[in-house]
Amino acid sequence: MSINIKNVDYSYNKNTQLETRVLENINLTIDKNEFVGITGKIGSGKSTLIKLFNGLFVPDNGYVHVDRVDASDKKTRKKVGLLFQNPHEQLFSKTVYEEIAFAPSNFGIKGDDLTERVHESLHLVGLDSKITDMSPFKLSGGEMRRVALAGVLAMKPEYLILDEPTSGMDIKGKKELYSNLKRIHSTGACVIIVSHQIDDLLPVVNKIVLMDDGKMTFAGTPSEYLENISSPVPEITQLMRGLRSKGFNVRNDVLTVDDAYGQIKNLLTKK
Amino acid sequence: MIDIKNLVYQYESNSKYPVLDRLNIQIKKGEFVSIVGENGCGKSTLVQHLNALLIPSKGTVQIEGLDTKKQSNIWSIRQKVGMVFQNPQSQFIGTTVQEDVAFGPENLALSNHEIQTRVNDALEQVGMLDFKEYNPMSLSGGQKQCVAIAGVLAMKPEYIVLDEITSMLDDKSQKTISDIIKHLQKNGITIIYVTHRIKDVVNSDRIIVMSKGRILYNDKPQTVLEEPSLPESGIEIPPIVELANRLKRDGIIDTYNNKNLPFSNKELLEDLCQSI
Repeated sequence: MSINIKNVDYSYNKNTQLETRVLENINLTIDKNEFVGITGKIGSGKSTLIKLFNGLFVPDNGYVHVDRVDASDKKTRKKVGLLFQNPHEQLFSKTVYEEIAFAPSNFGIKGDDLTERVHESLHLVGLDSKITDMSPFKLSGGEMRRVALAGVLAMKPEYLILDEPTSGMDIKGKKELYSNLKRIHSTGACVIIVSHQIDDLLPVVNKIVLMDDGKMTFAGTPSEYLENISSPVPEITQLMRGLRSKGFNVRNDVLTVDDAYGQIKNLLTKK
Repeated sequence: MIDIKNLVYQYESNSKYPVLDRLNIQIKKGEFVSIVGENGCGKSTLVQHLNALLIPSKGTVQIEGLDTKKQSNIWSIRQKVGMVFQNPQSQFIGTTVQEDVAFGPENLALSNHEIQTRVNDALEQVGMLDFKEYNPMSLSGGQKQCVAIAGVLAMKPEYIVLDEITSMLDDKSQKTISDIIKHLQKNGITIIYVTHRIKDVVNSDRIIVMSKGRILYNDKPQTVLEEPSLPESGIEIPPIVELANRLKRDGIIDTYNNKNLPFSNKELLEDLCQSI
């Protein structure tokens, strides 16, 4: 089971004077058991790419298959859950419960099953079940985002795609989200995160995809990434690479403050 | 000056916990003050008091001596204090960039010439003059934020509140915004910058750290960043600052003789090369 992207090109405003090529010859396979981070600058095509995964955009050339079915086929909509960048702008219901129950109830789930799904989803995003009767618009920005995520999770998607899910979130929210996503991944769902914050992605994902100006310039494991890519890398990695280039014996794949601290201490004891 | 005295705010009068709990803050003219804190700490609620979008449940907020509680002051207060929010597109109303920026000044009953001058001037300041004729919705996230700032600048405010304006932006656009802020401050505009990322605010004159509706710290960035209990406030501390703090505590790097704690990669690297 996988998402297969083969020779995909995509342009905005196709066949008009404003035609702009945003994706060029993309080839990528994402297996169902993967936890993928897609990174790159703003405007590199990463958000466009994921909109092909659930058929919101249809490639000009090539194809996108989800479990061997074309992504634009309605059958994939249920399988692929997509959370947009400003999810709180999508909220529309009177209560948190109605908000989360909206999609599953449209697919015919009702009664206790529905209630259970709502509570399960709230739990997965780390929100208290007590808020189900509240208006989503009375919550803080970070909480609204989590409600929107719970709404997507309630569909039990097999592929969960999130576009910049941590923007506007504080460190606690971020940590919680990532640990929730790990939990969701461990239940067998494929998780795909689009983020320009490489620092957040490298420690959690098992595949990194780097986009640059509409082209895919790298796809591989985080350690392969650190071996081959000089930028973007986390600041701590940059710092340690700086030390390395000055002749100090430190590794070039340091990701955490703890690791960096240990390596620097090590240099001093060896001296 | 902005003078906040014993500010209490409750969303509903019967709710047990106030969103803002007895805050006292003074902001002098020309200052660049950052307000940081985790989601839900009350920082956005606080700044919405600065141009009377919200009115205190208890206590007072005065802008240049004008009490926000007094209905007759609201128009002058809103002219003095401009606001830019996280999602600029939800603020856009014009079909072109210049139309959008002109909206505010048009409501001030200015001459056409004056409006045009203000629009050009504001767009120039944020580096968006070349995009005058563009549809604001067709711009990138960073460019949209620049246009939103221009819209506020065209009103010639004395204070600008920027509420999480960079949380959607990548590092490059964030740098552009930081440069704009520096430029505005040079021109004497008071900046109130709300964020949950302390990385963005190391250049401010003062950082106010909030938690659960109260003020935890209110001091220079240097002092605040070296607070050992800062991580408990739930704000994101840049890894470089965290590492520098730990190395400093061990005496590996030296920040005495008024030398600042290194904030950037480059500074820390220089320090390390010297001390190892």
